[in-house]
Amino acid sequence: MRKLLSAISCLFLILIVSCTGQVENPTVVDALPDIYPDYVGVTIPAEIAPLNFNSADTVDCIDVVVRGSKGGELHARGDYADFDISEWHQLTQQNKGGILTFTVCKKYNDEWRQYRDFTVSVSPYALDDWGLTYRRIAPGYEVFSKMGLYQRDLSTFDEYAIIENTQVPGMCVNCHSACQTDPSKFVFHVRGDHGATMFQIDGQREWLKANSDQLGGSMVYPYWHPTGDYCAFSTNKTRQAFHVVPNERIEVFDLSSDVFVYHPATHELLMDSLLSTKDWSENSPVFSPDGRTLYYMTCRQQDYPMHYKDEKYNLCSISFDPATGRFGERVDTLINAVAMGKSLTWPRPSYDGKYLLYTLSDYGYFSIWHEESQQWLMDLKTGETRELAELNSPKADSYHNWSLNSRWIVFTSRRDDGYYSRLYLACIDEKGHFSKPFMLPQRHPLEYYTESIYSFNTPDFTKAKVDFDAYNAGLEISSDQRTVTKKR
Amino acid sequence: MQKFFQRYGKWVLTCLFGLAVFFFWRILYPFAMAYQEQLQLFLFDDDYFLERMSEPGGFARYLAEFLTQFYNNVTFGAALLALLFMLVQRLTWRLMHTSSHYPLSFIPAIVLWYAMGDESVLLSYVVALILNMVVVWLVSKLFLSADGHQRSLILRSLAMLVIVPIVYWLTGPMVLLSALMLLPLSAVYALALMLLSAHFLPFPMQRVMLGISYYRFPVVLPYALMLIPVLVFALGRFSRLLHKGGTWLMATEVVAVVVLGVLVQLGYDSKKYELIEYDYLVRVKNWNGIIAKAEKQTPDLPMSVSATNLALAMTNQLGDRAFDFYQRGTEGLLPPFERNFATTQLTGEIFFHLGLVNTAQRLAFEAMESIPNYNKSARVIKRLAETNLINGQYKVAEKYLRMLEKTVFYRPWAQRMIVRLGDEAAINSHPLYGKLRQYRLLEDFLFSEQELDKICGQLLMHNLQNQMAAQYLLLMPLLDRDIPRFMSYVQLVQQRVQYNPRACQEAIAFAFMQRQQQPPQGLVNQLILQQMNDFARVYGSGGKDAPEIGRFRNTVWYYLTVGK
Repeated sequence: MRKLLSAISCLFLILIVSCTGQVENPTVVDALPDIYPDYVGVTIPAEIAPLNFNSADTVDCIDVVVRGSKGGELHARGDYADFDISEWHQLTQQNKGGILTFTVCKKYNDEWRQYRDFTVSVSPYALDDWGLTYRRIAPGYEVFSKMGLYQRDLSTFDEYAIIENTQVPGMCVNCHSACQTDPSKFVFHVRGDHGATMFQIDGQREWLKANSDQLGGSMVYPYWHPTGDYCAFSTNKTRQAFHVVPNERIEVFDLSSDVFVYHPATHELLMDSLLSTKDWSENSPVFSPDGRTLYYMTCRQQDYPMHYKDEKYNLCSISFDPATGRFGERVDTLINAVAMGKSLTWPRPSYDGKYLLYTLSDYGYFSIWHEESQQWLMDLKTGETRELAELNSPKADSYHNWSLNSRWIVFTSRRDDGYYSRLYLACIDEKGHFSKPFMLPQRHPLEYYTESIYSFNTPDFTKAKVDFDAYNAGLEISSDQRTVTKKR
Repeated sequence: MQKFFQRYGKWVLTCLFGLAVFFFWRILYPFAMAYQEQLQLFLFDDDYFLERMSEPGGFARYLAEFLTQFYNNVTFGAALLALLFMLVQRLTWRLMHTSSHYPLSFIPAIVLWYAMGDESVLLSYVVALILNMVVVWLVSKLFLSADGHQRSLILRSLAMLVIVPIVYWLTGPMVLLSALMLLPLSAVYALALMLLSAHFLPFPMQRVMLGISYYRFPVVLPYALMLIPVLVFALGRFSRLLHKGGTWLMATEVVAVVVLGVLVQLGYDSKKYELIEYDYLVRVKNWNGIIAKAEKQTPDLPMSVSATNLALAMTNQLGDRAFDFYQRGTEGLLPPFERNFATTQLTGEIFFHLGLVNTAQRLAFEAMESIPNYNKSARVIKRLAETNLINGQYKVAEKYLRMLEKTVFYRPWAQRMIVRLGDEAAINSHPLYGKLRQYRLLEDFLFSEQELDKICGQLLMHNLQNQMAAQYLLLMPLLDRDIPRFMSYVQLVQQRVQYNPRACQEAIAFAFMQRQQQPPQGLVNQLILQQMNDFARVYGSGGKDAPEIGRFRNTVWYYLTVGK
């Protein structure tokens, strides 16, 4: 309904406000056009939605001509550059592995100015995923108004709710995960009076008791085993605190945390003394793409909140046998971030097994609230690790995930206005270098991003559209019928 | 006269009713309108309109929120409410299809007036009710042929097939009223539509059936609101069956309606509205108004006590007059965080004026997120713009200012602030923002509700001009009845700033008396020392129950020993 109304109003607006007249005798300006979002020099997949953009300053009209190095041309004129979706895709597909050159003219008080052309590379690598899933939420503190899990078709601007918290009053949904971008195996948490952990496997939903007596807490930060037979979690006793100085806001620390693996077929919790130590906090586990290693973070337990700045995590690993569900007997430290005076969080191995992305911040693990958070990359073959200067910004960069073909990443960044986190995509080449990231395209980008009061977080790619019956899920959440897990 | 009354009597009664409603809101409850207004952010924006229109009842909600923004002008708001109530009454009368029993047409409007004493009843309900009454009135005319007979059932059914879904989408479940009054069987159709729509909407079934936007809290609806359409239906259906009656019956009905009108006040919880008024006075920074109100009736609820203490501190009287009023311990100074709009917003105001801008920002955000119907708040967005301006986070401030630019009442302020974006000198020289910038702490630590006195101490040490921090710092240990802690704080403060109000002198005198010593010369006023001796004598004669102890009700000594 909303989309229909939106389309009607757009049509109406286009009819009444579109700018008229040809670009005549433009003054040539030797500078790149100031556009929003900044798409100058980015690399995109051919399947991506049109890179609509606005002039960053106020103009009467903007005229954009896009020419492909392998042929094709596209023209847009109006208040902002709004490209036709099918024409755009025709052009990008035609120029896969080529270059798109954008010629931008802006009209100020009846005077046209033509800026230096800029280019966008169309990657030879396909996207291979249908879209993205993410949580959209106001960047608040403890209380949340409307929020939910959403999915976005990356080839269009269409966004669909997976589930919104309006479905069950007082509910909050968080930390969702699909099995290597396959949404047929999907998990997320529900917090609130009707708390639960939801597993949807091949269309069958199951609601696990939010707090397990065996764990002494709830199931947090999920990550699927590549076979889909297991799902790793941490269980965290999380607390929040709030900074008093202007540039810091929220601090999250765990009074304790352990790592375990859940086996959906038997409802068993696979635990190990090496993953639930007394003096260390184990957190955010992820499986290697071959499913034989479990990566996770560890931090020596501190006295919180007093010593919150001493909460620093390293990256460790332990072997895992998918056939038996047994863990190895040795824990290895892969990245000693503490030795660097840093704290590591959000490890994400690429599905092709080549790399591991992670975030470093000064302390803590809730990197999204740490302005100094930076993304790093580890080459899993050589063990080399480096800061991703080509991706990072002075504001918090975090919550990355890989596309199924491990050619694209999506991550969150607060670089746009310093507070609201947005989604950015970037491409990795054969040498492990990332292209300049670009902000998730929107139909009316300036209007969308400046007016949105939501942050995006925990984004992930999704191979196909998530099929989720929110209405019946709402009834099931309210029913409080839960499956009880057991410890193996 | 009699002729006049026969001709215009009904309108006179309606106008009298309207005037009563107008004065009720304008004189007795103007702050209640401000309360409603702050719980929404109406934007002149196509997205806002489309968002509202994407749910059943969205048009009524949009219209109601459009009207509610005019509550910013209380006279206009009261007039608007009076007009809506008159409309409800007149439409009820229209639907009664009778020439007598006019007073009965006031009943639904009076019940509505009573129901609106519940501050969570939204104007959307009233708008939806009116829209449906208009639909019934207009469509029932269309259902009559030129000769005054009902059109065929098939024709009416076909019309209802179209009317019901449209009216449902525009006004919500109130469509049942239209359906029942126009073609009772179509109510089944309306119900089926409601049930069906619930499957595709991101709301629980109960909320869809009770109206997504009729009441601020989802999945509940007060019985009074359920009763009103039933009354309208009953009057519309059955009033023509009543005997015409004469003057006597008319008089009885008038008296009954007036009695009912008098009972309206029962729907308005005086304690609740007292808090709403305190919050309003804090919002408009009417510190003297708060003190005057507290002087009339001593505040005793945490929110009203903390508002009074804030007003005293803002007028630099806290140290002298805190014990003139009822105190509730340190919670009456800085209440703990609660997950609701009203208290959180007020607590945030206190932190804002103290100079804890980040904490004020957090509480403003929490307050807005606590609004049960997921609305945003113009008041909060303004505060967020302010805190970001103070913190120099101009891009974020701009986002909020651009939102406010799309409102009627906040637009001028937003535009004044937009030109100051990025202008450090302008913010630094702003009387409030510049001052709060100076007050802000620069050394980071985590906020703790358990260490508020230490935070106040840090605020004072950071900026000795922060008088409010000094006042709060010294009052906290006194309210905790912790004299040793007070004595350590008072020395610290008095070494740095000249601050020795009555409460401090009384506490110092008390501390020295406990040690059986005399305070140093000049530290405590002679009169206070004398009163202290009097108090000691009275207390010594009978303790808490000493007959004269009440004389010292406004002193620190009384609070420390007797308590209140």
